[in-house]
Amino acid sequence: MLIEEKFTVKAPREKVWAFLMNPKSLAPCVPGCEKVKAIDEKNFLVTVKMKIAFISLAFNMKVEITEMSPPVHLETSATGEESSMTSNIKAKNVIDLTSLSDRETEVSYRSEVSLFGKLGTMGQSVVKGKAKQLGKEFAEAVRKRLESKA
Amino acid sequence: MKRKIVLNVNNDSYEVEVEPGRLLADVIREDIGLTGTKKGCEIGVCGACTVLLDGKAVSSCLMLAVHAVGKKITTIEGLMKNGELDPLQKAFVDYGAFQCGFCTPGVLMASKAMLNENPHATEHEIREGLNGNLCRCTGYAKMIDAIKSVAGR
Amino acid sequence: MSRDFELLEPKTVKEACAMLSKHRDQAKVIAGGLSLLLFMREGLFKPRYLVSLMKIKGLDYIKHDAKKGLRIGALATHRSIENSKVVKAKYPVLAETFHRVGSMRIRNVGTIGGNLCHADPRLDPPPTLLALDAKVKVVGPKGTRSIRLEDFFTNYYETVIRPNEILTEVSVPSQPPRTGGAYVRFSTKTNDDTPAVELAAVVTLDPKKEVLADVRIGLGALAPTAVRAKKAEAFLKGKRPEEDVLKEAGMIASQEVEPIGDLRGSEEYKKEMVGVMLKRGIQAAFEKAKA
Repeated sequence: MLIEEKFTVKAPREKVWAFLMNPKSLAPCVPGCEKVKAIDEKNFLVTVKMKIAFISLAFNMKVEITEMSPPVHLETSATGEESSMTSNIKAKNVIDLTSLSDRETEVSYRSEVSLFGKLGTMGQSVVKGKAKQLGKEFAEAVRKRLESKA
Repeated sequence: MKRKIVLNVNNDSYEVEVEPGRLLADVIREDIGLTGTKKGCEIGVCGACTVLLDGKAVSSCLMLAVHAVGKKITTIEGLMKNGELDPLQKAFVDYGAFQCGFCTPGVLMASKAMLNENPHATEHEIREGLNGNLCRCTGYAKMIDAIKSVAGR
Repeated sequence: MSRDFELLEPKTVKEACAMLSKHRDQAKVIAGGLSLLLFMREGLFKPRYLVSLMKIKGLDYIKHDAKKGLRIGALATHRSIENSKVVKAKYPVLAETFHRVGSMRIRNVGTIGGNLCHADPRLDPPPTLLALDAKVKVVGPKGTRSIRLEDFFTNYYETVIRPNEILTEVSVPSQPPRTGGAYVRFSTKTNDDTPAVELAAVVTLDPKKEVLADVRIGLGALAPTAVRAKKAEAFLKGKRPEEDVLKEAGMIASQEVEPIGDLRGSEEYKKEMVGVMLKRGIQAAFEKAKA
């Protein structure tokens, strides 16, 4: 499934880039992100919890930065397992930053997510729908933190 | 925590000790030993696990055994009466309405429930009644002919 | 499947609410269990307590009177509603809708209360109930609330029900004369498959002219919850259901939803289908209203 979103932040591009590249500032913006552990500069272990009504999901992910052109373009690859061990997730993410002015940046991201296992058969459209909602929360959180600093 | 329950299956009482999470299909097959009821998809879609609960067709793979307490359960083994095949079973044999036989108990139970409610079902009603019983072998045609022959009586 | 839960079997609604209050988010209500057991056996949901409603008597009624309209107890099965003489006579679109739920086996066990509380936007009854202006009665330790179905669903599998409340009744008001309804459901696989698009249309005609005096359209499988196509409804009000009118209404309705592309169709395809289903639904409802 493809999750694509664009949002604008009132902050200069370099600041947005630095913000997104720093796990300490980025992690709290990702809804449900509980743990980020840096293994090295390019590899991270991330735990993301997601609740869909009475269903609690916890994804343990390995995230690798596969391509990076600061402060414009970032590509990551993530693989993970859901803690009930009945589902796997693979995601390829691309983030592009465009300067709209020296005070405004457009963030656009594109995630190709594949769900395997039980969630794949049962929950594709529900997870996708929920992910879209979480994407909006992510955008809000980034905007809030960056715009209060800038 | 296990509890003792009594299930009425084919007019016999069976006392079994089950955890609340045990499904009716499993208790019928494993604890009571009646393996005519089959488990196909285990998500209520294929109909192989169909049993009758107070005469109504249900998916035993999606029912807690404890929810079947106090009801009259009929499985495929209960279709025969006094050693005689049910007319539906006879018709299925006569018309050659099964191949591998895996879906057959479910189809027979569903048809039995349907004809109990509507003894002279039309072909359309028979087809509608079989909605939800999947067969990979026969293409359904002979099943429908067999059921029609019983409905025609 | 998780075996580590305790099944509680209250005999009254009051007892059930008390049990839910006691165990809070460790407990979940179970009726027929069809939807819930699916999640449990896939390991996606592991409750400590299941509060079964199946020993509570007197909640499976289907009653009707001219003043109060139709009242259905939460534990009435889909099959009992499908076959009910009074539902077939007074709300035929509702009987038709319940006939389309899953297969006979599902309809024999699934309950209307369970269906609504499960709140999967792809289920059949909600669009029709929405188009009929249904209400639900919810009982908790603090008393009873009456909630319009329009305000009941909030998100995938989420409703406004509090953890210690039980839905006890669904009511549908009496419909004015010259009202007709139709339920159209499009599934891309088998007849009993989850729908790709579902639409319920209930129209009331002007007493004298063949004009749509009131239009209510319920849509399912197209958004995080079942919804009413309010903009399309407003557009259609006062008009005759002619080709070009219906085409435009279809386009308006398709903009009111956000379908997700999946196995049952792409986003674009589903949006296109909304227009097709709307036309069929309104035309069929119109014919019924004329009769």
